[in-house]
Amino acid sequence: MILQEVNGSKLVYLDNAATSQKPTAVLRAIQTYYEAYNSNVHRGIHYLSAKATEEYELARKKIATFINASDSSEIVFTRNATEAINLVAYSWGLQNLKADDEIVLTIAEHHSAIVPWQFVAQKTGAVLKFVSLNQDEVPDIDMLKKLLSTRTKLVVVHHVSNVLASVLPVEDIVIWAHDVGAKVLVDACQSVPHMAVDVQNLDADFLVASSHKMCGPTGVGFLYGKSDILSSMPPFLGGGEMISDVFLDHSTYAEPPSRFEAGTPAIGEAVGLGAAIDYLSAISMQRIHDYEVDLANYLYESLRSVPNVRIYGPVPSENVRRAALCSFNIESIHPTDIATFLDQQHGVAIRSGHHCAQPLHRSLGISASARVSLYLYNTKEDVDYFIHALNDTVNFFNSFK
Amino acid sequence: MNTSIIRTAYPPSHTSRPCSRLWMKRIDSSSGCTALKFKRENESRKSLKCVRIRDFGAKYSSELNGRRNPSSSATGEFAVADRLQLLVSEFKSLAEPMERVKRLLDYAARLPPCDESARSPENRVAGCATQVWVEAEMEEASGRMRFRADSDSEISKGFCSCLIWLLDGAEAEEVLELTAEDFEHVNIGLHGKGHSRANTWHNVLISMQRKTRALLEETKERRRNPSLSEDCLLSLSASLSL
Repeated sequence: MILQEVNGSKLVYLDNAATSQKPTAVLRAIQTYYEAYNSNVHRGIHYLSAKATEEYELARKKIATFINASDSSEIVFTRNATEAINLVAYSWGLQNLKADDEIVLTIAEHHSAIVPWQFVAQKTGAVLKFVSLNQDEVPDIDMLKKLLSTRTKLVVVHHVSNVLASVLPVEDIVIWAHDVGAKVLVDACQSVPHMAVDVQNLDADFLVASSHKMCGPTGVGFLYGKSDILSSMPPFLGGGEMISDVFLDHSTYAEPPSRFEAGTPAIGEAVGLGAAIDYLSAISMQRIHDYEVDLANYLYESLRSVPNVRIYGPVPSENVRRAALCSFNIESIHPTDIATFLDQQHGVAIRSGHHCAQPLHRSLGISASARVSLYLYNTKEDVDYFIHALNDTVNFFNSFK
Repeated sequence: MNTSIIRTAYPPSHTSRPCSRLWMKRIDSSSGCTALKFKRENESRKSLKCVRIRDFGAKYSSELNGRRNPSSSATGEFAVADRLQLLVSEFKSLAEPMERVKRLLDYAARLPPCDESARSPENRVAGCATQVWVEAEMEEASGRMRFRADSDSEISKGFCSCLIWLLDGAEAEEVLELTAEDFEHVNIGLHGKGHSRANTWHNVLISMQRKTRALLEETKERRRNPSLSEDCLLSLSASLSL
């Protein structure tokens, strides 16, 4: 995939925060499922069904081990992280929140971590409170602490920001939240693919991630929830698989995680996610993280050298680590024009827009930004090529003025 | 203020048309039009339209100029279908995607400047990755559509510029007849004909068509009910153009 050409140039894929490319092992695993043992899970007696069920449940176990959940029943397969957050909102949220309860979020959250809670607030009368950015362009942790009170029932935070590249001190946030009796939902979409994440260490109540950002296929993601919390939650979607007994006027429900997995799941895709986890684990998340820290610094320093560039998020230092992504703008050139030129002239794939973070962009005073985001298969040469192409882009647009 | 023109959100300064003065200067220098045409512009909007459209062509591209349909320049008739053919064949002839980007940037530079007031929320084109604003009005005498557009992105401005060259002065029905497929070969930066936010052509065209439809409805309503107040018509137009 990466070796293809785009518009006559070699493709340089730098849009990994949007989605990652897949190793052959993952593609093979999905193909093998469909070719060799495609069958519905949990229902059948025959060999194929047993095999499919075994592989599906094995994938669940791999996720549990990958994030150090205490049991695989704490992993619920969903379509993606967005669906996982909606599950918590509609199931836990509607059951537990009432008028004047508070949900604390940051202004830098992804839309999927904001909009479902707006639905819940509208239905229950709960109130959303937002943490704004401090002068270092990261969510103001002091402000977050001050916003917590006995009225706070839930804190929703990203682990790593898809725009600012900043990392939040989730362990501390969880301690403070638990002190006031609030639960914490961690959006780990940009962390789980890039570093070792330990849910027991974080003590998070809920954690969500998507497969497609971590070398896995689209169409599958997961929700991690502590056993006791999941057990107390009502179902989200109704249908097959999530029931125990069905009568005409009522039904009884299965235990988690099945309670939250109505209908036939994305079996092949779950198997693919399992293969992605095997692939990443074989390299080791620590090695991947160390590699990316180095690459992140190289990217930041190289991008900073481009004239009239403005990079958003914190400046990296000894104490402040950035993820291997940069959202930026160049004076007087629209980010979409930059992205188009990079694609058309140089085969470089970056993203431009609001990156599903409109409140964040509004607070930064911009309508859009360009974003370059790297993953384990990118290199310093990719960064050099991008910077060269970006300089060419700037010269091109300036010459038209 | 010219009360005979039915319009959507137009700033009063629009009637002074700084844009048209710019065009007139170019007309005089590039196509050798006489001072007589300049006077005619002030007397009749219809003549302005005819003059402006002919010289839109002169302004835009010598290639387009060369290929212009002889029948349209002879009669002064405005033929959207012909112009579309020219636009499509021009872009098709530019094999390299970068050549198309450069041509679009050329057209962007020629887009008449709009003042800040045009950048209002009701003029914003929905669904675009960049910010694009479109204004529309219908000339009461001729029923033809007039458009203005602006964007914060140069490439989007280029798209707008082409669409305005195509549709400014067209009949309402001609505007409504166009489809996104007609522009398939003119697309830049979107490989294929997807309905994504990056498909500016599609979104701006839809916006122009929506506003055209609203103005058509307003005209019909006005003909059915001559006593309807200006405010009623404006709110009808606003609700139809959403």
